[in-house]
Amino acid sequence: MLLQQIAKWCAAEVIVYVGCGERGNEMADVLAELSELADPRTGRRLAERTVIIANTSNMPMMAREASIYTGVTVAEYFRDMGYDAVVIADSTSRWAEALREFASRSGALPAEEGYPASLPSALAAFYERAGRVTTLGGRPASVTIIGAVSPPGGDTTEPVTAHTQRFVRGVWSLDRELAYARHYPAVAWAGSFSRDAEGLGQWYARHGDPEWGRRRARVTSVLAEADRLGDLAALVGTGSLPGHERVVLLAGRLLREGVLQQNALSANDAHCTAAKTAALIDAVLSVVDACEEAVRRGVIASEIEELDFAPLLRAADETPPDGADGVLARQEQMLDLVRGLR
Amino acid sequence: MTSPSGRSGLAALAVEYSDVEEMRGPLLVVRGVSGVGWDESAVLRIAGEGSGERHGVVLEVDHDLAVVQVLEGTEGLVPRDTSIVFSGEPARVPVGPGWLGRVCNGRGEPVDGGPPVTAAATAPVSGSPLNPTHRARPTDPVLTGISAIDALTTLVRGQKLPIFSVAGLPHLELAGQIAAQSSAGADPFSVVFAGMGLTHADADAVRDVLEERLAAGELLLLLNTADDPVIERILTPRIALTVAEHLAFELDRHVLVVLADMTSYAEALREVSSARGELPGRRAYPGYLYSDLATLYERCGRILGKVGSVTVLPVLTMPAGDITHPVPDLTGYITEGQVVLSPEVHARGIYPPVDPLASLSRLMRNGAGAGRTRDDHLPLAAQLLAALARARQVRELAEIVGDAALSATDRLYLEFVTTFEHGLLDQQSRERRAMEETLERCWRVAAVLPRRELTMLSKALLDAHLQRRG
Repeated sequence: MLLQQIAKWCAAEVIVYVGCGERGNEMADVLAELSELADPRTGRRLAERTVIIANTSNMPMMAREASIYTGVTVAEYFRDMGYDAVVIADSTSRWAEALREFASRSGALPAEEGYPASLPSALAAFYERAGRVTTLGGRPASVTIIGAVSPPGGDTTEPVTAHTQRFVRGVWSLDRELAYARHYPAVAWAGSFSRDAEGLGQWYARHGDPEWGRRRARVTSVLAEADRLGDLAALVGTGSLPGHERVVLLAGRLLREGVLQQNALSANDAHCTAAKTAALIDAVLSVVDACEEAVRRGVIASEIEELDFAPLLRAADETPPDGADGVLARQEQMLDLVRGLR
Repeated sequence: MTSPSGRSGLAALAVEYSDVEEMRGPLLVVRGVSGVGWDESAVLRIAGEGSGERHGVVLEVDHDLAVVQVLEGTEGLVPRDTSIVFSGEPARVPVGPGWLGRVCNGRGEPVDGGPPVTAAATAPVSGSPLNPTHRARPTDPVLTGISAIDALTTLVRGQKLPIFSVAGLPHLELAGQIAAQSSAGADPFSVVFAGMGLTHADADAVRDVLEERLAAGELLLLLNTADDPVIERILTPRIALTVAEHLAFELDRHVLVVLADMTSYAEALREVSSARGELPGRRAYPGYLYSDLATLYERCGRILGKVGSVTVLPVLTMPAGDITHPVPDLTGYITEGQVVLSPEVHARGIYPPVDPLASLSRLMRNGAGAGRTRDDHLPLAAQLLAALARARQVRELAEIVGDAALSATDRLYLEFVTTFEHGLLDQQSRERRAMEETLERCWRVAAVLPRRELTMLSKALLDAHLQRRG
């Protein structure tokens, strides 16, 4: 689901979707959706710039192994023509299992959990095919690989997950607790990382948003702090925390529900532009600052907690995807409410 | 030949091999064969004591050696009295409406005292992979009449949705109830129930609850009991699915296939694997367990241009409640969600003991909502689940700090859980709830919380459904 949304909205010219050992119905879903979808970038059909390698789990095991390589090779072909191509490989765990099945049938000695000893090098060779190039014709082009890994039983120490993390530049780690709470997308802020955040900050600074790096740092620190206090609050109860700490907890909740959580089924909220994301975060952070200020003024924290934050929490859903102005209006509305507290 | 149609006329002309070299567990090795292919079905003819026929499938051929998997096992066979005839093709079963209303054993032979099932057409039991571009996306719900499933994990026509359970929970009752009372609205609907490794008591209970539907000619019951030959279970789900595919795609019916219990099936697979001396994978299950389960589960779905659908509902017990056990783990990768039964909910006396937070129907948005169930269904379900997640945190907190230290809102969340379990989840084992009633109950549960907590429901929905009750 998340991968399909990425396929729909990401800023790439060619999308190669590899359904590796995929469910037949999900493949049918992707195909049907693509043929209906208008491309948000060109206004034509999204299917026109998409390649789908459809391999379902009941097809022969060797076809599953080949499907991943087929996908990258197709993407490289478009890269060499000067396009930015994205390969979405769903899922590399199924691919690794095909390697394992083949290895056990050909009598290879099993290494970790029955996978062949060549698994890390096979993974590395696959992910290393991503990169930016200057084509022979002089155009900049790239292949980006997004691989899905589904660790059995959620065990992130199993070989495929562990080795994949060694070779990639960034990880979005989906969290079971968030998924249970129907927090979509269930990307956990704690388990995910990006080794390119600094470079991205510089890119945003060059493209008119110098605040990006600072904003990201503030959000990650607030979330981390809120998680830490959340654990503490689970032990001693929220009521016994001092006002400042309770505002941090509140800030974590506002960030989670107002910014990070999206509604994939809503026309407004399925996709959020960088500008709207920035506006949402600024809105939440400034409201949090106002709450801090209120606590310092002597307002009791529970009064702040019982406030109706709905205008802020619904901002993502009720303003259009590029509606930074609408968010600003709600920010003012919330700020007035908080400032009005005695 | 495994089909009840009988192929003895053909087989009489075929070569009979009698050089049986070895018998080991479910496997039989025969020497001197030629022109035999993998997956061919075979008939064993037994002379002397215990004379009669047994059935098998070729697993492997190497030069003039063939390994045959004997569905009834090799117990009591004497090599010199046994000869084998190969059919020249994979196992086939007759397909048609003649199966409906019948009770058969795991190999498709009637045990209800009726005549063998015959039909004009036959189909190979192994099926074949469907080209994904020919699939139609699943839409519209299968209404099970069970609130926990209809409201929160809607079963969609063409979906595969397993029930994960542990020993001692009423998963068979639930599967039986779903098989007995499911419907596809006004469209023609049939059920194929394949029981694998059921105890006699369970088998009787299943037969009881399905009696009515059986008599109405809407159901086929395949029963492999715990003391029936183990290897026969490998064939049972395949017969069920082959019959279901024909009913769905040739006869335009919506078919629900219940496979209970898949853990017993996987054990049969493991038994064959270890008899063949294969390298064991996790928990000694064969490395190809995933591929094998996929060939079963992936046979559900809809086909472009056809009316019918095959919906698969596998039931599996997780040994020692371990959801990372290979069978539930690999099943979860292939299927579109899961319904998880929980011993804690069962202990509180709730039937069906569904754990709504661990359960999920990935295709729910295709099968529910405006025009399918009701426009408020999806946001309402999402809101209930989010509130349950919050309530669970509150309960953990309450256990540490005590109820008295909770805020007023938090106490409402605790009340919400109680109303949810008794007002929505809990129902009688023969009670069939209409969709409308289920959704009304959902609103009654949501109304326990103050409006400001219901952030996932739009203002219009809240106004329409909450104001009305004042």
